[in-house]
Amino acid sequence: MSTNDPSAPAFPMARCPFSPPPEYAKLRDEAPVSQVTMPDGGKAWLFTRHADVKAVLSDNRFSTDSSKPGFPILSPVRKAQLQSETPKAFIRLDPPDHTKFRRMLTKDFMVSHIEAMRPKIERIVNELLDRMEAKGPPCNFYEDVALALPTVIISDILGVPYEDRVFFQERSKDRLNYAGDPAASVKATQELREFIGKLYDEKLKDLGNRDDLISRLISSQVLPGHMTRAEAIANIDLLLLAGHETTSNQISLGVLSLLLHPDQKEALVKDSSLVKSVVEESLRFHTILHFQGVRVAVEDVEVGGHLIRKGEGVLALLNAANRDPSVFSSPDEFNIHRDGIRQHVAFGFGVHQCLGQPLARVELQTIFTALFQRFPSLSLAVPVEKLEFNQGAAVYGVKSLPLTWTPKTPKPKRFFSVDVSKCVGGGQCVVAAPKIFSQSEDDGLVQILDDNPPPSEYEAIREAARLCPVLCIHVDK
Amino acid sequence: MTQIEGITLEEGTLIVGTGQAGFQLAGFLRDEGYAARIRIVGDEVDLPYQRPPLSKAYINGECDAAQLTFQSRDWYGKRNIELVLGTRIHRIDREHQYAEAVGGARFSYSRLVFASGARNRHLPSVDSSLSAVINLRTLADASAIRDKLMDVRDVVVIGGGFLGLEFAAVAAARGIRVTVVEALTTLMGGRAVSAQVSDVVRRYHESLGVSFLFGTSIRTLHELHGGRLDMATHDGHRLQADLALVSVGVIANEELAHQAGLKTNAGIVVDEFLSTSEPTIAAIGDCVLLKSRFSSDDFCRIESVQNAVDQARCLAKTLTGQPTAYDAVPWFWSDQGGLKLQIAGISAGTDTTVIRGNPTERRMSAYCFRSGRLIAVESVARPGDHMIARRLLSAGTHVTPAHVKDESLDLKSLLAPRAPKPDAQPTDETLRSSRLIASGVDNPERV
Repeated sequence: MSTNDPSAPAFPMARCPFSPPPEYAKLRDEAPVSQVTMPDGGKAWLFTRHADVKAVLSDNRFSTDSSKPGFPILSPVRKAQLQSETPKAFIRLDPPDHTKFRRMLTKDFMVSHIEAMRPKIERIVNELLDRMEAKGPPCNFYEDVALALPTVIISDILGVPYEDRVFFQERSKDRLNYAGDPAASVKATQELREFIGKLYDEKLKDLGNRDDLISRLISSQVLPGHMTRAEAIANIDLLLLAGHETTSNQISLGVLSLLLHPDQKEALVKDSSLVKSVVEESLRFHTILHFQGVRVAVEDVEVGGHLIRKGEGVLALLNAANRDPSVFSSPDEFNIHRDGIRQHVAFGFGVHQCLGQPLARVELQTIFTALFQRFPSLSLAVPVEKLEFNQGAAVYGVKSLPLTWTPKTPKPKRFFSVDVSKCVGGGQCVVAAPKIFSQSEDDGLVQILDDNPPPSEYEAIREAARLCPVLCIHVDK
Repeated sequence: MTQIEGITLEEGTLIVGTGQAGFQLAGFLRDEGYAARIRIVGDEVDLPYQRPPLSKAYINGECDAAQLTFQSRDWYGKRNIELVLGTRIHRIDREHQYAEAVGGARFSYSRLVFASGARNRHLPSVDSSLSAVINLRTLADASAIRDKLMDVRDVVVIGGGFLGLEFAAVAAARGIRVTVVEALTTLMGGRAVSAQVSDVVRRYHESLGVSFLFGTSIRTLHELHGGRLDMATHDGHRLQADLALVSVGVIANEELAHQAGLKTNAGIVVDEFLSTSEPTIAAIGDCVLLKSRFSSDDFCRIESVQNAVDQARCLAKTLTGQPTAYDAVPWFWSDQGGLKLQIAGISAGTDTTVIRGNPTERRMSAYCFRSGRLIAVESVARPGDHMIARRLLSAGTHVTPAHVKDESLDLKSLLAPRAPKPDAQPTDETLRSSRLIASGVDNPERV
């Protein structure tokens, strides 16, 4: 194949709802490194093998700097968007500049830091699910939960007012719609950066009293002169965008896959330790950043036995790599029990691997665990064929996800219940209601002698509940 | 020594303090058939309520104030117990046997019982009038904290005792950044918790994201523009936070007793029947200083629910003609997030500690010995150890470090066979053991 093959197929190719374009599999078999024609007529090399994609992404001779000649341009919107993003966020920089800026942001997203946030994330998930339950079926799960969760969290980390969410959510969508209007994308980018600029200036005035990522970035990086205001805004802009738009789509698609595979959903409900596998398989299977892995060679490089010349664009596509049958057997099946489940590159690979992946993982784990426990009867409220997907967007996902469930019928009421895990063996209940409570000989913890007491004991049980120093006896009202 | 052989005197019993000890005493007196007037007077305005959940479930919004109330107003009416809230006693006239409230109201008594509790200690370096400086003792304190926790990002906890750590666990679980400043080198040193248990607790809190500064204290604290606090420690750390909790122990409310000429010494001194130096006046609960066979010191003051309840139960018997010496094993618990600490005995004075279980799994007990004698057992997630420890200590069973080191030995086997349950004609010995059992071991009968 020559380096400028007029018969090179057009890119992007049409994808299926749950799979990359079928051409990728064919190319992987027949011509794993092959040329495609970009919408602007330029050429780029498409990599479809897992090993090749990793090789490209971990090789610094491939640049992510979109201003370098030869960088493949996915669409007119993408072109406009890349040009309007000045200065560039660290994702579009190569080492050593990339390294410098990324390091300034690493700490907040480290595993230990995110793990400490887990209880908070669980609390927020429970609150969102409480609201969903209270509103009753059906719901638009994408908007009510999937988008709300990462938006609350990233707003909290950055210190962006949650009240402004509609503003930045809408603009993020316009910006990432590669199939839309270039002017709208540019306008959205500008408005977002202005919005963050204002926020930046407000925080600057009141630095001592705030502890959010933006304020810390200002005090520890901008004021000492390691970073300019514009650079800080560019990177905050990226974190805000990447922090909500990606995870929300990943949540929706993961939930959808579990609903379409009830046996795997049941396995998760029975054994919540499977949630890590559910998350990894959802990441692999959907690979929502289905256009990521675009680079340009800055030197001649050989990859997979193929010479890429300086100035040639490459598409080391994550979603092609994640369906490589030499790494993932039956790659087009969603299977949380598969071997090598963590081999996927859904978060990218190499120095640009996702900064926020520990956060995304905890968010996904938390919602997948809680959702199906809370709503065992959860199901799609529309036929799956009716769902609409963001075909041309940078971040793949479902436009809305209507779900329904059977509201719980209240259980037959017991007069009282006891949370033994809280008991400290004070014995107050035994004194108050000796016919109902006793204490274990071995550990002093409460034992229930009669869980269906006659009404004559009700007053004694109420007294026991009031006297218990850890409030572990609950009397139903 | 006491002249209270079941004689019903017209003026009845006046209980000063509406905390748990006072509330329980009133109920137990009625249970024992006490027929005279019972009045409980205190300066708090809320119906008597549970304090332990304030620093745990309540500030975290897991229960509401109504659930903390021991009994409804109706109950006091039905049991003929008069509750006088919002009233501070400021003077006792022993000669004429009345207590006088601020404003002049007089409450005459035949028996006066101090159940006046304790109050939080303040730090001279900390201006407790600042709205960001918080104290946690009363329901009102806890309600204010519960609201403030809604939008704080970081807190400093001054003092790493039970209260401070319970608060820290709640705050950290809500994603609030917590720094605990502790003057000693271990946690809960006020309770003489062993270094090993302190270590387990510290590591647990660190896993929640709590940071610690040990061996130092707050040198200065001032308010920044906007209400945030800026603090400096004696060893040169600077801290800023939205809130600071001062949890550096308590002071017994003994002033009233002292002014009345009763013997006090950082606590109201009582004998084994809980009587003060004046036979018509007794004291129970946190405010009491007494000799205990469970303490290494001559006198001790015990702040716990167990102590309040067991002393109330004991005094109710004495006041109804069944003189009963107080001899219950002290025990404590602390719920810090997901970690449950239970302590039997008083470990101050420990010279040897033997560990059972696995500290890295946060499932262990520290057996504390002094001069070869078991004085306390501190358990994390080992309620069985705790319960047996209460029985071993109560019975004064000889337990050696070698016994404890041998993990195959069931320490329960060291106990003498159980005394039979008290029958209709209790001997002194069974009466004594049933009373101990009623402090929470296993006797389902009302005693």
